[in-house]
Amino acid sequence: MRFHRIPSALACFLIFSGVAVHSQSNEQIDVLLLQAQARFDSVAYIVLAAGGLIQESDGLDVAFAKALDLGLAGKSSTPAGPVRVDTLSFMVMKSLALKGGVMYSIFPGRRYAYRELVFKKVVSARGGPSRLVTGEDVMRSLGYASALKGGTR
Amino acid sequence: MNRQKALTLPVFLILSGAMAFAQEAGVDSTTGFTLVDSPSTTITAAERLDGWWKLPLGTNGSLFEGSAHVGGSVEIGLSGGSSTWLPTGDIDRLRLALVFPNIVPDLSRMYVELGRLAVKDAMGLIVLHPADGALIGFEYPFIKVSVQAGSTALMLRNANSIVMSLYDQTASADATSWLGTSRLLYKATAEFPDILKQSVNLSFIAQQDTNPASAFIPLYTQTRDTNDPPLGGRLDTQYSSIQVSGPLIPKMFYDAFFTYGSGRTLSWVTDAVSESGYSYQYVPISSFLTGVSLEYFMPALLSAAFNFRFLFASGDADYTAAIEGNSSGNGTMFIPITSSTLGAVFSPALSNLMVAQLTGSVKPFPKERIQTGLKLFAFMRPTTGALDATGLEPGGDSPWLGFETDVFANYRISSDLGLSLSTGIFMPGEAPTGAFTDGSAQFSMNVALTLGM
Repeated sequence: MRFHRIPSALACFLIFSGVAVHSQSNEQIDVLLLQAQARFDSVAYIVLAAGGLIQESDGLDVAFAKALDLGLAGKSSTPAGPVRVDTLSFMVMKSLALKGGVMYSIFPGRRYAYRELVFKKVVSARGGPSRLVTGEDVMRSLGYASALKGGTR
Repeated sequence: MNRQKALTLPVFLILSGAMAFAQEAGVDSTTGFTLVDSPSTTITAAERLDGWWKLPLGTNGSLFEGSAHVGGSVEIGLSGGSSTWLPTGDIDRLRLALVFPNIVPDLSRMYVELGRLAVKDAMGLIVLHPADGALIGFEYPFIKVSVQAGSTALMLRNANSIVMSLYDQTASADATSWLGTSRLLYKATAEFPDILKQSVNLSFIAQQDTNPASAFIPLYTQTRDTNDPPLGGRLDTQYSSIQVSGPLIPKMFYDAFFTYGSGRTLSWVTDAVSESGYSYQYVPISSFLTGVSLEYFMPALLSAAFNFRFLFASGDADYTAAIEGNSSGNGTMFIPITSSTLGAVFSPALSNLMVAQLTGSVKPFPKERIQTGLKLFAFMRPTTGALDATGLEPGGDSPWLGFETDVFANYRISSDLGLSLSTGIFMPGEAPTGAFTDGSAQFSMNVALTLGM
C-alpha cells in the first residue's frame, strides 16, 4: 500500500467513503493514485467496478472495452490516453446511476453530467470541463459521488 | 448608426472566435410572470435567454469569458387594456482576465482584466453596471488595491440602467436610438488585512457625464426651460466610502459603511445679474449615504438566517423634483449611479430616504433546496424634498412613507431548474400622518422559472 503518498485526509476519506472496490482493486487504486495524468483504462476500471458494471477480477482491457461499449469513451480514446473531467463526470454518473437534472435526463452525456457534478460539488469547475484529471481527482470525486448516492453527502 | 455598424463586425468576429474555442458554453432561459398593482394593475410576461461561455487560459485563474442576453417582455394594463412590448438584449460581460502570480517578491498576485466588466461597489448600493474598459489589481500581503475605468457609451439603450439626470431619462425613453446614456465610470479600492477579524475597505467611485453638450441647457441661461421632454445639465458625481465589517459574537456579523457624495448638478438658482433674477448654474453636491447591517445565523433551526439593515440617504428640502430638482444652495441629495432593489413593491432610488429592513429566512425541508423568507420594511424620508416616488401629497411635511411586507421562496428543483416566487404588499402612509395622498394598499407578485440548457 502506498497511502503514505497521498494526503492523510484523502486516505481517511477513501477508507470511509464506501467506494465498493476491494482487495484486488486496491492494487489498481495504488496505480491510479500515482498517475499525475490518469490513464483512461485505469479510470474506467475503478469507476465501472465501483458501480458494479464490471467485475473486480476483470482486467483494464475489459474495463476500457466496457467504457467504449457504454459510450463513455470517444472513438479516438486510447487505453493510455488522458481523461477529461467532463468524461469522468459522465462515467461516474452512468456507473453509479446518479439522477441528473432535466437536461441530463433528456440528453445524457458529458456536458450535462459535468454540470450536474459541479453543482453537487463532486468535481471542481476550476479549469473547465476539458481539464485533465489526476488519479487523486478520480478517487476523490468517486468518493464524493458514492457518499452522494448513499445519502451521506 | 455608422458607429454601430462599424462595431458590429469586430464584435461578431470576437464572439464567434470565443464561442468556437470555448470549453464551456450554455444558455439559461428565464420565464417570468409579474402581477403589479402599484398604482394601476399590470401583468407582465417576460422571457430572457442568457448565453455564456468560458475559456480557461491555463490553471492560474486566467480566462476569457462572456455572456449576453436577448429577451423581451409584454406588459398588459388591465384597466386600460393597453399592452407594451419591450425587447432587450446586449452583451453583459466580455472579460479577458490575466492573472500573474508572484511576479515580484511580496506581490502575491497581479491581475489585469479587459473588456466589458461589471463596475460594482462593495455595498452594492451605489453602482452595479457593466462598462467597457479595464481593471488592474495588485495583491500584497499588507494591502490589496485595484483601479478600474470604463465607459457605458456602447451599451444598448434597454440594457443601460443609469438614470441620474433628465437627459438620462430622455435617452432611456428614446425609441429611435439604439444606445443609452454615456458615462465614464471610475473605481479605486483598497482592502487592508483583518485586524482582530475586522476588515476595513476604502473605495472611491466616480462617474463623468460624457453625453453631447448640445443635449444640455447652456450655463447661465436666464429663462426657465419649457422643452418637452425637459432639458437638464451634466451630472458628474463622486463617492468616497469607508466600510468596516466582521464578526461581533459567534454567528453574528456586522457591516457598517459611510459614503460621502460629491459632484455638481445644474440648478435653477437666484442670480443677481440675471434679468429674471434666476439662471441655470452648476452648484456643488455635498451628500452622504450611510448604513449598518447585522446578520445572525442559527444553523440548527432549519438553517435560519436573520438580517437587520438600516440605510440613510441624505435628501434636500428644496428639491422640487427627484431628478435635477435643486432650487437653492448646494445639492445635498444623495444620488446613486444605479438603483438598488429594496421592496418588491416600493423600491425608490436611495435618495432622500431612510429604510429599516428586517429579513428572516429558513430552509424548511433539509433534503430539498428550498429557501423561504419574510422581509419587513419601514420607509421614511429625512427631508420634505422630492424623492423617487409617485403619489406624494403636494406640500406634505410628514416623513412617514409606509410599511411593506414581502414573502419569498426559492426552490432549486434540480441542477438546471429553479423556481422563485416573491410577493409583497406596501401600505403607504396617508396624509396628514403619512406622505402619500392615497393610503390604499399596493401589491405585486412575481413568479420566475429558470432552466439552464
